[in-house]
Amino acid sequence: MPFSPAEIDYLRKSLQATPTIRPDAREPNQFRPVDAAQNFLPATNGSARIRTSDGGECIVGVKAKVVKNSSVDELIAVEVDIDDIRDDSPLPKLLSAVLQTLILSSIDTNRLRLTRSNYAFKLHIDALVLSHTSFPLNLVSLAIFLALKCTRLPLLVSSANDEEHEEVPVFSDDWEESLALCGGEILANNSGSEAISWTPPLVFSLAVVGNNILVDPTHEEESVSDLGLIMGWCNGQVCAPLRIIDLASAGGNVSPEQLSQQQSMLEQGIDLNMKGTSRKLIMKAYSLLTNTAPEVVAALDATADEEDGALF
Amino acid sequence: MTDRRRVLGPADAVPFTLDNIKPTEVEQKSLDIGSIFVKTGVVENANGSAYLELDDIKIVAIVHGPRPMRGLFTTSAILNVDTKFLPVSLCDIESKSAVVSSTQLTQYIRSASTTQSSSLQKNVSSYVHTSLLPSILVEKYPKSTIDVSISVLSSSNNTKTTVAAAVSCAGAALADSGLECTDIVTAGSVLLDENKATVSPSRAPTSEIDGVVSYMAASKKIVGMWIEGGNVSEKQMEEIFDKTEEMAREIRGVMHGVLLEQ
Amino acid sequence: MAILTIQKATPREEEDVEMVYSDADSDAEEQMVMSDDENEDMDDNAQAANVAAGLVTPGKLITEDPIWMRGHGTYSVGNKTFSSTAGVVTKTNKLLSVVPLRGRYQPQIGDHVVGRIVDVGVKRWRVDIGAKQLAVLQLGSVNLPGGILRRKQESDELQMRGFLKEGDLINTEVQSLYQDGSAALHTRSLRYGKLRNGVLITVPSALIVRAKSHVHQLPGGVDTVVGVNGWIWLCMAWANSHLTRENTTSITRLEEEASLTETYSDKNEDIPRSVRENIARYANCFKALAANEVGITEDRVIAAYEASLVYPSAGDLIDKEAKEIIAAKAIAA
Repeated sequence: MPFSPAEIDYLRKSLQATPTIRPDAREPNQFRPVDAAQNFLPATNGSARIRTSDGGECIVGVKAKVVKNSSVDELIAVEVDIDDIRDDSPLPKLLSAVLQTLILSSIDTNRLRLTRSNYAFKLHIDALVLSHTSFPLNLVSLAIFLALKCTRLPLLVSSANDEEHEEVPVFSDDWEESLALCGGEILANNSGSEAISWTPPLVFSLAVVGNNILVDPTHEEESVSDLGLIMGWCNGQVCAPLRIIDLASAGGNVSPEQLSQQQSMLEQGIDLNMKGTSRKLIMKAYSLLTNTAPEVVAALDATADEEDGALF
Repeated sequence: MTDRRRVLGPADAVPFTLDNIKPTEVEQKSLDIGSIFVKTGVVENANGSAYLELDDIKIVAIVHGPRPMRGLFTTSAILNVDTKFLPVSLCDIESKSAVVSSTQLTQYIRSASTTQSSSLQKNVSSYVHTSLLPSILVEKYPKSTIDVSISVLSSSNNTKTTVAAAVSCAGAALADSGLECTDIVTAGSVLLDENKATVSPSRAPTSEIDGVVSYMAASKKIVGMWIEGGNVSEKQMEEIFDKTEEMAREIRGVMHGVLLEQ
Repeated sequence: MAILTIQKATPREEEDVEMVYSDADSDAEEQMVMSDDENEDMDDNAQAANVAAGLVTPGKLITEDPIWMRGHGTYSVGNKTFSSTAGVVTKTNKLLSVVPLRGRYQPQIGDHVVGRIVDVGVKRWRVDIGAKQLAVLQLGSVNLPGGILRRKQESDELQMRGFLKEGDLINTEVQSLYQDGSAALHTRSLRYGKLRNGVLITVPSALIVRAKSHVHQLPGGVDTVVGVNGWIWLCMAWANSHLTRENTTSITRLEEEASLTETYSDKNEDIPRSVRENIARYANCFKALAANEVGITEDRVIAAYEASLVYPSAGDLIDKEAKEIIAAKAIAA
């Protein structure tokens, strides 16, 4: 929905102020509260649901499949589906690509190896955004994090060594013995590498307004933002993908109404200033994320741990 | 008295000597970013066009517009960017590409004949769109569209460098079209090894960080950023910006020369 | 301050059980069957509570008495009157109707609403007021600069976008209803016109309690227009605001003209930081009331605001518990 020039001016001036005044009085690094549920899809290896207070909702299911002779790059497949938006439109494509490269680059693929040379698990991570008002990346990323956290893979009982003769993986029937994907144990401890637990990566979208960086921007905040930043977080550090996107029009194309509004604002001499950003601001976003993300991970971890006992 | 049995050519003809051959509209400069060649106005019936070579990369960008838009009323122009990787251009990209996972790349090569839906092309198009839009004064062109089409004739093994070249080429084409712009957008790419940064890399990254950053060099604004490949420290961020800005400025300088010469 | 609070979903089994109860409540016959059930006591309690509140669901028999006239939200088979929506039975003299608990806003004549222009047409604007149809604002139903009683000219038709354009928010009143249920609006009063100096928030329209006035001056230098359609405008209080000014006859023609040019202005005043912060706090208070399904009145909003002052940072008000506490205090007021 388009906004009136007076609203845009009010929102921009409030958000540009130091310190910023967000429409819901949040701190720049404060997320909106979410509702979360885990493991509610019995047919998946792990699942999660995230719901935000503005009505955004995302469901994620993780399914593991045994594959033979596949390249390392193909072991993770992320598919983001957004209700009401065609699968081949830019937004779901962008989200899928961003999350796929992020998870691939952060996971140690030994976790998915079943036998030394041939077999491995392939993880199909399917996210369905049921509804969203703001840019859905945060929502999908949080849901995927929780889903991966509770993903369990069956225990391998056959030998992992198939270098000399063909070995078809056989799994334990007992689901109690299943291993957590993120846990310390690796399915086929073949490489002799240290097995350490894995924290799934997160990716955030940040809005830049004036000199302020805002996490978890609402639709209003995105609409008046100069631009958006996508930043990944894994292993306690900022990581790629790092991208600049146009949040104001990310939900689709810029509507003609929006454009006509900008025009009328320019006529009245209201400075839109939607023209790029500076290096200093990107570094500011970087340090904001460095301070904020650990707390987000901690909050998610706490939620996931609570659930652990109540499996199946 | 002229000899009528001979064809003498025009009256102002001058004898051919080697020292009056002038390379016109041509700027060939050797930088540490590789050799670059830019020529604008290569397509006669387009409003603006540019051809850019950067080492192995060969790109043509064509700008049509502003032209009238049917059906919709808008008070500023709408920018459309369409990128095509010619099937032959991809032979150079190894299966390990950092832009998309190899799955997507394989898919792309498989569907090279029906390339419309390729993720790579969409990704590049949206990146170029994000980069160019802040530079164009779209408010000056109501009820119009500006269409930029980019054809990658030959690409480098490193997709980020290819993208950087595409942005710079499209920026030159925009400048050539005479559309009102605040600046010319150029981009730089970089690949960070453990201890070395390669500007305008020509090899695909294995697990290193590589990225492309677009600038409006005159106003020192960043208009696009696309970095991939794992954890990035603060120092590395700074280094990426340093190197890409340097490259973008170099290309900007070349553009400047080319545009003024014409 | 917690950067991210995560609320765990309640276990699914409990939800299922509750659903059985509420299904049973909806129908009297089923209630009879269910009364043999072991859950008898709880059913009775829930049923009694619902009857007291006059809550009905679609298909529920309201009365067999033919003397009632059937209003909105009902249908009839023979002499029997059934509910066609989930809502509250209301009786006005002999008119029986069911007011839906949810659903889109249904405009009524005289409603003070906030709307957004979506389209500029020939001699009319089309306005989104959150109803099922777009409302219409005729060029003849607005005050134009140069005197209230001025004739509309062709030049006015040509510059309609200069007065109100797509995206603009207006403060307006439902003048009449068309056959299809869409509303015709008017802004022919100095109290109405374009909104500026603030932000819009929306709540379900069913929560707005109709009152004599829907423009309130709140403590903290904030004015609000609580549209009956659930669209709430929060803005800086302004001594001479056309929102709060009574329809006085004492204003001179000059003042009138000045106020009219300002009526169509898009420029905001300078808004001090404290007011912006208070507006954000009020926005959270409204959302807290809405989240807990509390009807919105001026007194409750002020009570909620005062209760919220316990939290020095208004950003803490987005938490679920804080919202509940504030809503509880507002009801108690």
